[in-house]
Amino acid sequence: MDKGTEILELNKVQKSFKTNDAQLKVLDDLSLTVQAGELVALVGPSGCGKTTLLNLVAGLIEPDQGQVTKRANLRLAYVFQEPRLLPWKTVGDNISFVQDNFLLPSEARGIREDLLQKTGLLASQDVYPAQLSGGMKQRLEIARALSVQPQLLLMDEPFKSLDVALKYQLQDLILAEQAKEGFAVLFITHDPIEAVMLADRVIVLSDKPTRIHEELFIDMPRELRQITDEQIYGKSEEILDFLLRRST
Amino acid sequence: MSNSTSKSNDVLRKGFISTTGLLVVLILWSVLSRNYHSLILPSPRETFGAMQQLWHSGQLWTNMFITFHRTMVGYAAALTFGLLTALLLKACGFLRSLFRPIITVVQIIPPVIWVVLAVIWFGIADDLTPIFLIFIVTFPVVFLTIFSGLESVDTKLVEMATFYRCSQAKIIRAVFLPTLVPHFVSAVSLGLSFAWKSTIFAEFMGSSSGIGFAISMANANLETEKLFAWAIVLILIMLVFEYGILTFVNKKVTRWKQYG
Repeated sequence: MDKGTEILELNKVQKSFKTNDAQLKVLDDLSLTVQAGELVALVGPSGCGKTTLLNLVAGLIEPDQGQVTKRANLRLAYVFQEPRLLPWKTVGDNISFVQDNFLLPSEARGIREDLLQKTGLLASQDVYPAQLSGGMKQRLEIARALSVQPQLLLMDEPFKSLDVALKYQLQDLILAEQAKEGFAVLFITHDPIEAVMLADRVIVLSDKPTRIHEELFIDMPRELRQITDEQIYGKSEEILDFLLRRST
Repeated sequence: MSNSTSKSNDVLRKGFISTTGLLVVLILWSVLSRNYHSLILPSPRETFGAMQQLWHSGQLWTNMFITFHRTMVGYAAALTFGLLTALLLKACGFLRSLFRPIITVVQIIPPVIWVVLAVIWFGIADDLTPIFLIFIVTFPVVFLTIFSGLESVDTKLVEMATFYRCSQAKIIRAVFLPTLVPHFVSAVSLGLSFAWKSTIFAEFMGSSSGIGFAISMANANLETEKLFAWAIVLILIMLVFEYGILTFVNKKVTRWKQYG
């Protein structure tokens, strides 16, 4: 797929949820696009509907109004906020469980073993999720998502509550796989520095009913980005200021 | 020390404690029985003698076969019907609202009411009375256990599987069934215990054959040692089912849970 081709479009999407006594409008006339090979970060105040937005893209929920248009046969993968692993399947079988739906067994096996190797789980491929630590479970969740060779990877706070070393290790893995395979990434983060260091574009969302407050383009090759750099620091401060204003 | 050695030591230790407990009961029973007439508390020796007599006269196997046959028929019916009803009520909200209260009422009614009704409806010379009681007592237990298993299926896992384009058949096989299996094994185990007790009760109250009837005869003839002998036979049968078969099956099908 050519880089720059539009693979996802949300057009004036609205979504409400029923609460005890009223309809709570979560997303309001929200429009955005994602292009092939692009890394897009979604940042916004807590509870503003970021996960709802990702679930709409994933097709897990339907919009009340507006359209979510995906390129035909677009292959998606999802790193859920909490690992959704089948407790009765081993590490290896959790991956092949989803691979079977997309890949031939001969091609799946090589990809699976490569990702298990890269995530440090190869030696644990025959153990059950209950035997893994929290960080290992998250690595498995990411390996499973990458194992289907997605064209659009959705991630809901994938690095939350990981120790710093593991967080950087997994970020490097995703960036390396993204550079190699060229898939697009749409991910949620609460960390403005993480957003500007990783993404090509940061979408800052407002409070409920959520709209796009601002779109920031990070116009700098990823390998050159330093937090001390004026552009990077300035943009992360801008996002942080907005989030701080919303939380007070 | 390796894991397997410490595990086998643990099993030996537990086995030793359990055996000691049983021996203490046996000694206590033996000591107490010396102070009472055998009509009130027969000794272990008298009880063992009664068991030998039941064995040699053929009563043991004949009655065991009759009771076992009735239990299995009623139990199989309750298990099948309980499973199908749980699946049906889980799938259909209307049927759930309609039948859940009825099943609860059936469960609340004491077995003694059912057995009296069964004697009125089916008489005492038939298999139907015990089979009916087994079914009516066991069915709600099986239904509720399996239904709670269906309720406990993690919707987030179903969502994940749906997202990754798993077919409905694959989701049932890989998400629903593994969740359901421990509940099903539990239903089988609980149901069997209820079924077995119900058969004995029904045979005692309203039948002319089977272990329950033999117990009622022993009671009427003041043969307390036979009562004790039958009690031991029943305990042994339940232990064989519970620990020899069901615990083994449960461990096999929920191997992954041991690491939780």
